[in-house]
Amino acid sequence: MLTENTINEEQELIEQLQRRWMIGSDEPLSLDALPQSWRPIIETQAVERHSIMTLALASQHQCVLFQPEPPGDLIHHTPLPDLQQPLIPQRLRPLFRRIIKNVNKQAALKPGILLELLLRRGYIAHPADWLPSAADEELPDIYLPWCQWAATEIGTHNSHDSESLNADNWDDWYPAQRISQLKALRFKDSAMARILVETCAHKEPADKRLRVIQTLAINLCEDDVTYLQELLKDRSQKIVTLAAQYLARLGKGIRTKTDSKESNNAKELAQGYELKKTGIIKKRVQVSPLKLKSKKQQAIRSEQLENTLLSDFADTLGINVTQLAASWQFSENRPHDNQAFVANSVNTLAEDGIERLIENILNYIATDDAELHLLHMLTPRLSESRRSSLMGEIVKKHSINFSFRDYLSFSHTPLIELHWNTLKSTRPWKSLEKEIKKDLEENGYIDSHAIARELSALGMFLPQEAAAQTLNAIFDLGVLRADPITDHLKFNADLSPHH
Amino acid sequence: MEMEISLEIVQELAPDQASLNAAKKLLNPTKWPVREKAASLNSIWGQCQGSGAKPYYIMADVVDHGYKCTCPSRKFPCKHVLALMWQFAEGANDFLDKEPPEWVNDWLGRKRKSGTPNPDDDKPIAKKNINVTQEEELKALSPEEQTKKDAAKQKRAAQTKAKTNATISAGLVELQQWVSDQLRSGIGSFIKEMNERCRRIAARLVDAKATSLASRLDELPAKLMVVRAELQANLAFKELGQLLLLSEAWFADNNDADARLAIATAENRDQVLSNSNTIRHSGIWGNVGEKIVTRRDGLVSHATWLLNTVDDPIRFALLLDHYPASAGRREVGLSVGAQLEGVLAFYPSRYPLRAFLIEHKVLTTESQVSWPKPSTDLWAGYQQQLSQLPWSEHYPYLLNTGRILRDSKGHYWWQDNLAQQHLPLSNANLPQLLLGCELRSAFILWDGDRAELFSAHTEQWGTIAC
Repeated sequence: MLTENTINEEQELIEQLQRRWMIGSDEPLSLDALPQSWRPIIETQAVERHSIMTLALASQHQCVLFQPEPPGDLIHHTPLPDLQQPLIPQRLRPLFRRIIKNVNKQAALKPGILLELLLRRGYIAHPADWLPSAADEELPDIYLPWCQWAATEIGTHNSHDSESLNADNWDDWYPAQRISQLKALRFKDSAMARILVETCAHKEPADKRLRVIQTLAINLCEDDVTYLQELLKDRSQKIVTLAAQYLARLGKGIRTKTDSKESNNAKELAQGYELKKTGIIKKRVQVSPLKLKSKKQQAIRSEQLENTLLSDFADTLGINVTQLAASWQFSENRPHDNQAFVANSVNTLAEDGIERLIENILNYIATDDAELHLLHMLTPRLSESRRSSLMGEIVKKHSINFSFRDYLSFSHTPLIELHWNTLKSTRPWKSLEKEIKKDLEENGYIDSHAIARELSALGMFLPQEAAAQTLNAIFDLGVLRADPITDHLKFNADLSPHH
Repeated sequence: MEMEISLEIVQELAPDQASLNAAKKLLNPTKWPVREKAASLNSIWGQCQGSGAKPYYIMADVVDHGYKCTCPSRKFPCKHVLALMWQFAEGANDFLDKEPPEWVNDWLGRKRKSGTPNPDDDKPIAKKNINVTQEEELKALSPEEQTKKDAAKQKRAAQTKAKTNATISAGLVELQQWVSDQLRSGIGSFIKEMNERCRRIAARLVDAKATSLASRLDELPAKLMVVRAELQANLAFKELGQLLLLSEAWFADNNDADARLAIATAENRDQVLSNSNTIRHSGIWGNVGEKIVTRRDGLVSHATWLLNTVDDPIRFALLLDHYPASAGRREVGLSVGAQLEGVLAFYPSRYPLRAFLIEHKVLTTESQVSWPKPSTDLWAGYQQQLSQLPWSEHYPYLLNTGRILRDSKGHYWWQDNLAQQHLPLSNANLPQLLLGCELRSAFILWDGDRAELFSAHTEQWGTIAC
């Protein structure tokens, strides 16, 4: 029977042997160097085999005696919270995994979109297939407990109990998720969100602070004025400009040192526009540009459009800023000027101004075949439900030129209602159908990434019935039934609502 | 939509008469645990028990006659595809209507062009006839001729074996000398040059027909590279010591089945089945772990670990297949968590582990049974295995209830629910979810120092593959 002492002595001898083997030696191995109990076995062997036979015994000895102990305390993790929602049906998990793997390869597709579709049908993802990561933004709220679990348990921070962002756990969230939470909170409880920004924004470096303060754009209101005025003293010039723009949105044009220059700019800009009145019964105004002589003048105008306070510009024209938003003539202005005007509006117009601007842009894109990017610039000012309803309107308007991918860059919410008959007569469907036919004719299969992206987008926002009908339509066109480009549509069509 | 395929088409597709003859031998339905179809995809698929440990997965398109099979044959289509189509031509009703499983979908997804290009288009086509295959079977030898032929065959086999044994023994003498040289020049310098040194001795062992041992040595540097520098020497001592023990076992008895399996080429399926010592076990087997590794010798080693869910004490089986990396991706099959009901044949061993499927059917999710509770202690079990096979690289074990934790350096540990037992895990990455749930049981391979976690069973989230 081995005693503890014998074990320790033997271990000491084995370690000496290992040191010898580590360095190497030409000397024959003496039996005295071996643990006592090994000697009878080794001495029967030829001297030149002593070393290797001892190594054989030592290897078994180490396997049997070694029992690991952790180095110090081990870190315990809290259980992943139960979200109290049914998990995705087992049979759809392989397809879900395929889609989520593909999601990050497509810029317009984000996990949040797939998860929103899943949630609308009553399910959540299986955490073995997906868990939030640092880069995930705009996830459905139901996943907030998982976001925090991932950030605190898997990240480097210590764990704690609360479920959503607050001043105490501010540092425990990934920056992207913090912004995403702040935006959500701003829509739900704008005062609470502002207090949180006031308390915590100053801890962040300038670039991150700017992103945090930009969340105030959502539901900007009178209550924010005091804080915005404080921000006029911020050490970052970008934040001072942003605060001034937001104050302007609230009709609180603060005169700063640069104001007299800005006022001159507004006058100079207004000189390049004329106010026209149209309509016989209902008189409407139109703000139309005068022709400029040189490229330099054009460049100055674009710059002024982006930086001048629109309220000053409107004042100089003799109208208010909401009228300006409604009467801007997109079809008569250069695209670059249109963009500058909308970019400025996003930061400075009040809510009713934004709504007039949306109407104006919608009329413009419906009649002038323009693309959606002007509308897209307004997304920081629109709530998810507004974006979704706007996209619902756009999809149903047959005359608007857009791609299905545009839908996803606007909204994460799948449509509740859209009939196949409506969809099939839209411009994007017709052009997609044409592209599919062309690709099939040329290759016998779909080779185009653009088509794949359009079909993926459709799969993410169509209602279930329309997804199934779209699938049939593309199979009828000759697309292979097993082609992975149909994965998203198949997932949608197969995902029946949970009852 | 009605799907059909004619025997004429099968005949036309066959690359030669020999393929048709071989396909004919596979028409026995017992060789096909799965035969299914999906009319909406024009596809049929099945699993056929071939010479590997796991069945081959075969699918075909009945309209454009495209096909796929996981067997390593270089004939296109292979006998398995022909046999699948042949059975469909003669009895489409024997194929169950099913939703295509993931591997079929995966293949269909990658099959883009309709129609299968035939690389042999320009070659003259040899005449072949599906009906001739029946006549071939009639050519039988007389009993005297057969006895004579068998005796000659046995004699040849005995001569070959004696010659192989002598070559292997010479190779093992060289191996022992090589280990002795490493100890003389120092393990420190061995670790620095282990790639070249192991490659050289592995090549010598391949020449000596000790192919399994050669590949273990060839993989040794890779094994050492993944552990921390301070642990490399200990692992090298252990591995080299085990190789010595293995060679000693061979010198003691070169007919020892375990030593032969670890040193020379594994016997083929037919040899194992004809051996009276072969053990067969039936039951419900759960796939508890998969490992696919591309080895330095260019072969892909695909290991599937099965757990018999009804046996007590717990019984594991290792299905091990090798195929050339150049043959492309073929990791299809039973996913971790899936279960099958069937019979396995184990290679004769004092500690039977390596096996292959004789017949089986895959169970649906609803009819799956839960994992059993482990009844033996890890250390006792490991020591018992080492006493039988002192050169074992790993010991399969089902851990009881526990959690996954991390140490301050971020390395993973398993801890039992009483916080009394701790095992370091060798996995560099694990699914995050495993840190956030209690594990009812977990399948590991214990190597004496660390455990590699393959899968875990949880109350809340089901089976999680690592």
